[in-house]
Amino acid sequence: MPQPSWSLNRRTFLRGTGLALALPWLEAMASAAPSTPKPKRFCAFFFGNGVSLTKPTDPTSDWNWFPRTEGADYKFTRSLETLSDHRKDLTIFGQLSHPSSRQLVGHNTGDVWLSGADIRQNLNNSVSIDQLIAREYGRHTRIPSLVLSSNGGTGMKSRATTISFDQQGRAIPAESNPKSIFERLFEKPAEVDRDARARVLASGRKRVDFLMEDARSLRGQLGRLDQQRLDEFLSSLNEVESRLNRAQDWLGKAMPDVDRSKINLEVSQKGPTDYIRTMMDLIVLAFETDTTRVATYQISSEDGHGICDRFPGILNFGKHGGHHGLSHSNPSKESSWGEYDRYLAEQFAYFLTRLSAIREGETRVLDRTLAMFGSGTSSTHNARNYPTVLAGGKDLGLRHGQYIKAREERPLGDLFVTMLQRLDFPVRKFADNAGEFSEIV
Amino acid sequence: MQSLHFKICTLLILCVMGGSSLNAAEPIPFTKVAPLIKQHCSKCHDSSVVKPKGNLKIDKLNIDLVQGKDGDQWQEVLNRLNFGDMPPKEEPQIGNADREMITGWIVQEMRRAALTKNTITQFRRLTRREYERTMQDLLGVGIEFGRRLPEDGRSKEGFRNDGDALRISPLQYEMYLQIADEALAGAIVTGLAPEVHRYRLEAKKPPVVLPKPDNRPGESYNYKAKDKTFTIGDDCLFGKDVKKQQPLGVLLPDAPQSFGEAALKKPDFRYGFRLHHPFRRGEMLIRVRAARVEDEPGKDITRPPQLAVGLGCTNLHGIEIKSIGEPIVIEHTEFRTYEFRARLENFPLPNPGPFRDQNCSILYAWNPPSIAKDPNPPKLKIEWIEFESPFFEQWLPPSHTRILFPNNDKLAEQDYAREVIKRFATRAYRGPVEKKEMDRLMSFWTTSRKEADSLEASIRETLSLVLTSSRFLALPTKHTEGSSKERLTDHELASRLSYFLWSTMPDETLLKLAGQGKLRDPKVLAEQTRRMIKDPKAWQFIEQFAEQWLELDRLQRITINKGRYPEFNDQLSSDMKAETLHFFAHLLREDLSILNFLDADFTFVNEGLAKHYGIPDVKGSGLRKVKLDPQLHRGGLLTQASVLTGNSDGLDGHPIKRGVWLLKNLLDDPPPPPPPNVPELDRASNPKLKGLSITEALALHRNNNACAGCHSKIDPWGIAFEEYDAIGNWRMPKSGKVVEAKAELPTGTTVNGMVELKKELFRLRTDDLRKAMLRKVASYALGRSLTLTDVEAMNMLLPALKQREDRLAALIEIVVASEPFQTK
Repeated sequence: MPQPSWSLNRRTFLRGTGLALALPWLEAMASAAPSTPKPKRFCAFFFGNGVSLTKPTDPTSDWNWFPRTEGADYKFTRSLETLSDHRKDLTIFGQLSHPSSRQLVGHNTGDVWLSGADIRQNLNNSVSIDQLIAREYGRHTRIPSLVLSSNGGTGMKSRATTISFDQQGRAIPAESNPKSIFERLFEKPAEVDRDARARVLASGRKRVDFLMEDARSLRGQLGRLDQQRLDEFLSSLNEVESRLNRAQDWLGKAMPDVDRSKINLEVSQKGPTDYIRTMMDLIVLAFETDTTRVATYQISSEDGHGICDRFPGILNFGKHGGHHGLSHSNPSKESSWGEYDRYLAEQFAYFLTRLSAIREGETRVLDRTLAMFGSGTSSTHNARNYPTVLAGGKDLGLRHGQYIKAREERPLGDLFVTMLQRLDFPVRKFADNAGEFSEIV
Repeated sequence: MQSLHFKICTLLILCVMGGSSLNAAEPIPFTKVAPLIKQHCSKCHDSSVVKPKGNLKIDKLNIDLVQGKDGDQWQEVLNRLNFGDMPPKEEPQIGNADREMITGWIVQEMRRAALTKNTITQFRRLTRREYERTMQDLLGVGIEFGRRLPEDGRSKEGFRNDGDALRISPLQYEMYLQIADEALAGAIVTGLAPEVHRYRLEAKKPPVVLPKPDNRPGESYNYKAKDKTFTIGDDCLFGKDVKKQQPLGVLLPDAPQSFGEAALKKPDFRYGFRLHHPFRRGEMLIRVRAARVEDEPGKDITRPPQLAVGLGCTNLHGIEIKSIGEPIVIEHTEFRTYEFRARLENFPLPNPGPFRDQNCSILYAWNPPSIAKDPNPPKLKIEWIEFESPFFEQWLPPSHTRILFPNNDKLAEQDYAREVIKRFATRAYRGPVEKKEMDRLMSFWTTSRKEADSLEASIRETLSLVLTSSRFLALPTKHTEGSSKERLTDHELASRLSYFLWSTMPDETLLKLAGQGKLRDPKVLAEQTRRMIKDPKAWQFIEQFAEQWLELDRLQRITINKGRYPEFNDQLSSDMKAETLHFFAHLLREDLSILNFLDADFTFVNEGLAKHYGIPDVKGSGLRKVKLDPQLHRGGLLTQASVLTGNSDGLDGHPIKRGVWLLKNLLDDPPPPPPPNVPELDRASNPKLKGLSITEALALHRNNNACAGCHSKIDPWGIAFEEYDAIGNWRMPKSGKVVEAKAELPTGTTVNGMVELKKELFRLRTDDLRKAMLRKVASYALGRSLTLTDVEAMNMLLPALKQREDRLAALIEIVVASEPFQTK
């Protein structure tokens, strides 16, 4: 009998009596500073290997990930049925993909799912959307972003075990150990660690101070127009300094008061359900305490790599020896793959339920969170028509409740641009987008 | 029948008449325009009208577009006139000559206003390329520092070194801070020499670990087994069975092929190591023992094989690999040892771990792809390959001792540190460091030294400030007398010259002359300019200026229709670009006339390009000068494949693009941008155009009132190019019918084909080319858009240029000697 990841009786929670935080952090914060704008958040959940697709005539026709009909009246197939409680809070998309990846073998697209980089010539990735957001949102929180995966680390190029890539396109190692994640997020760091960090920050500030003074003294020797150009250096340095200052401030601030005994950290990848849910719980907690506003979680990686490939085996979904094996089964004849899709959707539903149960003032946290769920391939090796669900964000102006299937293939970047705009990024371009996604605003 | 999808207009309907150009001798006076406006517009758009239509009181618009604020309104008037919807259909129409007069005047004034708005702002940050090269020269460390920075913007003239487009952001500043730390960690070392790892792979033998290198510090690595961090595999993971096919490590001349996978080049046949190791930085040495396989009798082998070495990393499907330096030609049939050196940082690296065969470094040697194309390719054999990392000839490395010079005078630590920092900052700031600045640096060092474990660490920390100071990251010119124009100091002049021609900091000679105050001496300056042009570093100017001026990047952006042009590929495309760069380089280095840009009886080709042009007897991938026969229909930039291909639509030649390219780049007489919302004219979708040839469609286009004015000034220049197809083939003999390449130029002359077009350019527009070159070079040299004064100054140099027989190097000298170049 697997132990529930959250030791509080989950049924209690689902009845809506709320979360067992020692102190409802957000509420406390909201009452302390009513004028502070409420945070906006972003998170993304990825699974590899695509989804089960069937024909309407197949005996397994119910196990097609995408609904059969478009628009607001769509019916969930059995694959996504577990999301039906959240119908009003989510949109399902068809025909989205990153144009430059369409010709690639689908397994490669995990690396670029959130970045849209063109990796046909070399594997140089570019910044992923979460890190773009974290760069701005990170200024308000202790931790800029949470990067998680069931495998941990970075894995190999083209089969990364992380979905986050930094500003220079380098893989950001993902965390996979719930205990250490919890400790980093909510427990006081050891004094030596904190001192070391403080020294690094202090030295950084000393340098920036020097450079600002240096630039100011140069400024006096320049012509008027040249001074205006130099001011861009100064304001950049200024911002670098405030980033360091904010990091310094966080060192001195008390950690949010989260009771460790309330979360089940005694989980491992050998018990996938508890493990996945604990990882999701950590994101929920991090959002609830406003420890970060950006999170990514690669639930399962591409192409049979790592421990997460064994999840379907442990959970008894068919006899194909792993997620990748399952994705090579024949969905027109057997339903195991679709059943695993359904399982994954159920985990995402769990996350949505958790987020919608937490309120900040008049709204639910979910209403101010954009939560993505999907994969970089439709069926096993086809890097087109990414299974994509976007949930939450009603309070950010998103309209949900539809299955939107573009008539022709459409860049996923279009959706990213609209998401970024909803999160106050005034962008028109992301990767190789063609436009925006006005249908959901 | 040519392309059905010929689009006359995407960005290219340029609906403004030629009007004034920067070259025009006779500006249109407003007095000629005023009565026309009164006659055609005042009925509806005059202040005397009770309710002027569109609330436009044209008589009240300020005719001074420079000082006045009605520029946008004039733009609208221009758009309406060009669009043909004013005057309205029911009103009397304007004759073409009158319309041209009005629009010509507006365009002329808008241009003048635009130029006037350009300001002299000198301060600009280094471009990515300049930053990288400066860091490398300053530190003596060959890391590609710029790779991590975002790409630079581009000015409206297309140059990437324009201060207006070179912005800086907090993120970019953070990158500079990081790079500075890492660069100094690479340049300045601490402690004893690190362990050196050496491995050798010999054909058909297991890999061996070599003993500690002779005469070099360090220890050999105690290699045991695969459980250590460093393991070696001697296989080629991919493709055919290497060992079976080629005993003795003889390499087949197969090229790596990319195929429909993510970023991989699948080597059919290579010879190499797989390396599981934790190294991600530092210098390495690769030694290869190789020889030429004796030619088989009877086979016509025309040249020796080459040895290329690449380093990269594996991924699930294959590898990413990058060549180390240039391939070496292997002439000898007895084995010799060849060396390759490189910095690990510059090569594709695997993800940080864990390492496995599909996520590790990989080192390969092969006979490069170009050789494989020979009908009887020469063969290469390899006895062994060695890998050594980190590599250093002596401890301490030169990058270290160059900064922390030997303290032979036994200076006290503080005095020594001051001297070290001063020497470094003087080079980094490209000029003397004021005492005040030195004191601040020293005070930082003093604090740092107290906290740091070593002198080296404190020096690194202090020098990182120098590397991130705006004095280093940008090119400041200091003002002493307020805002009036003044001469550059000798050091500022050295920098301007050096970044102009070399894209890096001044060398010791320039700095020495500047220090002695001699650089401003016109004779010395001219001499130095000539020296710099002769220096290989001048390739920086050649490559960047020529590419940006001639928009050679269009070649990369165009998608050529493979169905119609199966012979087109990436290699041919890069050969095309190389031709133009070599042609430019030749004019510069040999100091030939810039009129060669219009027409020349020579060019540069390699085998691939020669085949493309139909030039016989050119073998090999290296470009060489060839004489051009008239029957080849080539000569000058206008007929180079790079230009013709870049200005096509991928399926066919594109007269408008080509015409605009000529006007804009060679004559600096750009047609103004099209008005908004110009419809596309598509021969497929527009029933009126269906079944017409390009020339007919263009003619119809010009006969349309809305387009006529402008396109009669643009299209004819492009029609002569019709003799060349989308990838620059001369198509007259190939096509079934004669291609129409005949048009009446705005000069009144009718030209038929390229030869006549060139003749006309020589007859009337050589001065425009001269002035265009002076202005483009000046704009690049100054790193900014030219002001009206600059333009005038450059135009004034025309006689001087002619006196020097239009020679390109002379043109550079003349620009360097000009007032705009020497003042701030």
